Amino acid sequence: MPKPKPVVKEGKIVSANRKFYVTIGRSRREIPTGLFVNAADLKKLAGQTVSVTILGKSIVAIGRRPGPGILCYVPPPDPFVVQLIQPELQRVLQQKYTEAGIIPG
Amino acid sequence: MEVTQACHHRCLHCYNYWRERRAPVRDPQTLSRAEILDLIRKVRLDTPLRQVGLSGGEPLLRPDLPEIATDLAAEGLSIVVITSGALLTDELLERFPADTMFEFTLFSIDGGLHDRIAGRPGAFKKVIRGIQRAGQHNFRLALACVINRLNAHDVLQTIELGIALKAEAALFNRINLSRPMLPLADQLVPSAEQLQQALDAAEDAASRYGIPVAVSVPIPPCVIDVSRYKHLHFGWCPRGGDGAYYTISYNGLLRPCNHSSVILGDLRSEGFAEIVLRESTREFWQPVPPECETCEHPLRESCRGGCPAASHECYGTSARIDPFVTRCLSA
Repeated sequence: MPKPKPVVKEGKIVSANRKFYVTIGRSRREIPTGLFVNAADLKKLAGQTVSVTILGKSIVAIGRRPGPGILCYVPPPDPFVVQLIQPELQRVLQQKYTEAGIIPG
Repeated sequence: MEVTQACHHRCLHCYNYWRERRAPVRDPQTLSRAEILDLIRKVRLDTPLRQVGLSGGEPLLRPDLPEIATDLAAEGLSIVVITSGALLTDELLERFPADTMFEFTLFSIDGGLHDRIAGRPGAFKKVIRGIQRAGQHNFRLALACVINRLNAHDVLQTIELGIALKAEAALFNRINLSRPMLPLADQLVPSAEQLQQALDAAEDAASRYGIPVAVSVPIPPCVIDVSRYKHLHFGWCPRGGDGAYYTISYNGLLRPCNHSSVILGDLRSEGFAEIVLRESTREFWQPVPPECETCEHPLRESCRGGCPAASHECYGTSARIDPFVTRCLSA
């Protein structure tokens, strides 16, 4: 069996009729929202060009470079991880916990 | 893949069936580096494997762990090392493949409480230092925390500390029960109210900082209706279906998951498909507890009574409702 390898393409998140789609070239796929895919997150990405990771026929991630997801116990079923931590927020928290003496300076 | 059963911590919530045993890092049955590679290649013949989680015990107790990870990464697999983080040194980190993700455990922002839960004085400082080193080496990091009665109150700060240490994702699992840790259940299982407060805090962190937070050990809707949390990613037992999560023991025995001591087969002598397609394997996940048959919640089919492995470990059958449910609701 050939090894499935993830392919990263550029796509665009589109919102129409209260649904969300990702377009890659001429193809358009609906992104199902619900318990595991947050519509509010997708709304923030609407109109933006994002990285779309495709494995076989499935879209496995949007907006992130390919790599391992969280893996422990039972894996979370959400294939759409669309949020990224802002570096500035990370720095603010790093400073906060360094000043508190929890992270060594 | 549990590369060793040895662990230098004694976590209060440890569900491993061998938790009372001081397992050696290697015993005569432990798979060698070459055997692990052969075994994973064999599994790939039968299933589109993409990721391997290297866990234990504490996987970093194995001196050849970086080389095991390198072998598997060379096969095109994503590698996640599930570790306390306390043993991460610069020398060790330099030997790991660049795309390795380290999933480290942080139980609280309070060092004393972390040490108490981890069962080892001084663990907190070592974990913080180890994770800081991994961040300096630009490895991908994820925070893992087990919510219990002792630490349910400081979830927001713990996630903040994880982000400060460069974690890009967080895993917040509620405690899962097994027979060896049942004597501690009353001390450790949070009440539904405490669990809800913890999830509220995780939701707050996820929405405030944009960190993906997964809550992977099932929380049945009769405990808390998780559909109210829009920023948390809840997991359910895949029960052998898509995304199934088999565990390979240090000696090559295949189990349904890391929560279960049930041996499905021996990968050293049998094929992966041969084992998982067996009727006896499928039967492990089939039962729905009688209490759940009348459940009308939309998540009924996802939940099916919570964690079947926990029921099996505690009661000897997966046909009973997850013991967490009764303990949590009566706490």
